[in-house]
Amino acid sequence: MNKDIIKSDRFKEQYYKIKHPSGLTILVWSMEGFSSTEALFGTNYGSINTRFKTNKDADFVDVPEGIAHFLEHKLFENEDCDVFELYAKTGANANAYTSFDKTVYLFSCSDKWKESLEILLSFVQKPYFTDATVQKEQGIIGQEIRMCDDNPDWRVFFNLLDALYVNHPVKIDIAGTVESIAKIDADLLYRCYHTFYNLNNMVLSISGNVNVDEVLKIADKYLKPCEDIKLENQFSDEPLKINKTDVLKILPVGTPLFNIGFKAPPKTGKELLRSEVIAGMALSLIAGSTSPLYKQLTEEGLINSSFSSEVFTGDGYFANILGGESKNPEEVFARIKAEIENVKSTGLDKKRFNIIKKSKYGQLVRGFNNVEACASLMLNSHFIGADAFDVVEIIANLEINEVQECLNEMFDISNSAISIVKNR
Amino acid sequence: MSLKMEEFVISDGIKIKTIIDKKFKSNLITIRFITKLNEKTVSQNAIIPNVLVTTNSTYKTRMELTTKLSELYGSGFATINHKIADNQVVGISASCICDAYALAGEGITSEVTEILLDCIFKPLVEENGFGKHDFDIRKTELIDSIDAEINDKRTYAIKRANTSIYKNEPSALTSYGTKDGAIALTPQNAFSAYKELLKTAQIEIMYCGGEKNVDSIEMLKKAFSSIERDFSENVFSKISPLKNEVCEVSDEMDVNQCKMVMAYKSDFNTVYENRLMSTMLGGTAFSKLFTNVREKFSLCYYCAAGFVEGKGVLIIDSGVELSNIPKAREEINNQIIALAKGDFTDEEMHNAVLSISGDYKSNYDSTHDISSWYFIQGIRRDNFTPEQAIQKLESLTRDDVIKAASALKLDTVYIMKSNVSDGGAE
Repeated sequence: MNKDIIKSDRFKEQYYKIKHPSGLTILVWSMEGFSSTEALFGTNYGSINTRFKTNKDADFVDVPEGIAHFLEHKLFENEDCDVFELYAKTGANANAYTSFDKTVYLFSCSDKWKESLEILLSFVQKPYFTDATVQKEQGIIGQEIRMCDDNPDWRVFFNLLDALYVNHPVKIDIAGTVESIAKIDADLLYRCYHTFYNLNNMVLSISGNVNVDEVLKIADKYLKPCEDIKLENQFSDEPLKINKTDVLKILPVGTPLFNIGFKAPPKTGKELLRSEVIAGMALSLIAGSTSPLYKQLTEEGLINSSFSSEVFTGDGYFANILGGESKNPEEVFARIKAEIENVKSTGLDKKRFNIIKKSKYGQLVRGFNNVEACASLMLNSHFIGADAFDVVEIIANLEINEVQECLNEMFDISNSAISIVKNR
Repeated sequence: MSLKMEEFVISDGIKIKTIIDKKFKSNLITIRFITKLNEKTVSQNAIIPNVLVTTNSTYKTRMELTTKLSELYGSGFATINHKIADNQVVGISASCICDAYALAGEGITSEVTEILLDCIFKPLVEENGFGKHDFDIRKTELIDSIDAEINDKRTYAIKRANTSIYKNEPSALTSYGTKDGAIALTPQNAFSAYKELLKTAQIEIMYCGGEKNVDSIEMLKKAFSSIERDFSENVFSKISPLKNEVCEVSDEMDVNQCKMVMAYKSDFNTVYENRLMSTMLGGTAFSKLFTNVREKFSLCYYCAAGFVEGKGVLIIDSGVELSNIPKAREEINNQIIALAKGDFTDEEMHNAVLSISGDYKSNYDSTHDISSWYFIQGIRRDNFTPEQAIQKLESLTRDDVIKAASALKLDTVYIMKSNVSDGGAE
């Protein structure tokens, strides 16, 4: 078993990357002086993976929306006990989350990390579903879905995704709908489990107060070799064009909320990582807190301190999103579009480009202070086919013309939409 | 543990603590003003940090100041505004990377400290008030924040419940104050409130990070030693009185999921006993409320308990369907009765101690968390290390938990009722 060392000379940091004989990739970052440990056991499986096949299937199979999230809930129930009861004995703080493209089981602790790691590796590999427990969970998740419907930030975001995407399942709520989860049964859960929880499709990322050899000893004991089943995901063809230009939802809120999105062509691998950095830099230059546009919008009372932006990416989707609160979201949208046209023709500000580069470097340094952030960085980088320090080098070597050249593709005005949530 | 904490009294009611741990790659400076929560000044105090972190007499616009901080490797200023019992805590913090990580060997920390001190001691002032142009923007933002409280229904339900739980007490206020209070703000009355804070508030300064920058620490000490003071000691704990009858309040709203907030009051005013009892009741995924009310009886989607230190109030908040409200209320109450009767295992108690201990120790791994830890310790006048606090917890007995639970008396029940059957209108 090779222990590759992934190093950053710039930050004098390193972590281990091991391909375990079971098929699992293991990432271990020992952080000197830190007392806590963060462990993430994740599968490359999220809400968008609703159509797939393996080398054991004749054809692609479609499963109900929300099943990845449902599976995450159900794995916490062992045949003989609740997983939280096991963690209670180690003092670890355990949780899990499902996103669009991954499901992650995690714990953080300050003591007994080895015992907690044994629990983590053990329960995720021991599914136990019955129709009765599935039915009970349908009620619990139904409540979660209704609770999310009351959350205006959540709604304004998903309504934007619905406006941007025509067919891609990213537009569907991660938890699915009350109707879609009603179609889930124990057999379907086992099928999804055995497809996506194959160790070849998973990663263990662990950071903080941890020792690589101890991690491998526990891995050897708990991981059973998995055959690579050649998993393939399939998504319906997604046009480059958006679905609709605007969506309005009425909910009890204060100042109206808005999300504005620019749909861009999807990317993969290191090209995705590079494009994310470029898009993030472009967003900072166009509408970040040091930009003339931000100053103008703030001074005119069109945005407030809630205004922010993000690069939203994954398998088959890429969008640049800006959001916040505004008494006049349509005017904010118009001003952002005008500023994009302006920088496309007059060029980006080089002085600010260099300042933002320096600022992003500082943010990365501060991220290395944080045990949780380091475990997440390793896991997220791995799932897109990169290493944790690649982003540092991309930022360090980025030139302003690379950002300028991508503006047309990443900020296409004709492929933009706005979602608004406001009071009745 | 390589952490080193030192405390130094600068003047009457002003202290600085330095917390150095070489593992950190950044430094964090926090300046907190602690004053009595008061309806007349709460909004004025609330806007002060927002004004201070956006301009000063050198960097006269937010854009200029933000650009300068970005040049200093993305250093950041943040605001603080929250309540501790009947007190308001406002302040600002500055974070920056340690000088060792500057690409050209620049002195980042001392420059950031200088700018922070300019924000505090040389704010942008005109006509005996804060600079009007920027102040008006911050005032609009504060009003927007108050309006936006309704967006997060869980927090909003607790805010609405607080007005009844703490009726006629300062704690009924939020740390932002009311919308009317925010509308009445002027650059002059806010500046006057700021001068009062500098004079009368307890001021707690924390310098926490990977390097002991002596220049920065000396700058902080010197700047705060020259303030004219009129300080008197504040009382931090003021137990909320129990009402003669349980107060029942409800609102109707366009929501799918109802919220229920139950407040119990206690005259058993002890930190660690109440922390342990509330953790066993509803502080973890193996607590009584989670395992019974949520998992066993499926009555709530969430149901959690937290003890409000200094007020003697236990708050249980839950997300619940309309038809389940009476049953959920009964079951929540049953779990408190169970604790008060000693209906819990030694293992439940031991596991709760383990969980809290883990939380306490994890404070060592973040400049923000360890800084907040020692701030709260100072407020309690304990200055316990996390290990010392764990020893206190480990010394507790079953009887301590029983006493803490037995002291709880139901005071207020707030319900946010749903008036929709299928969500908001499209």
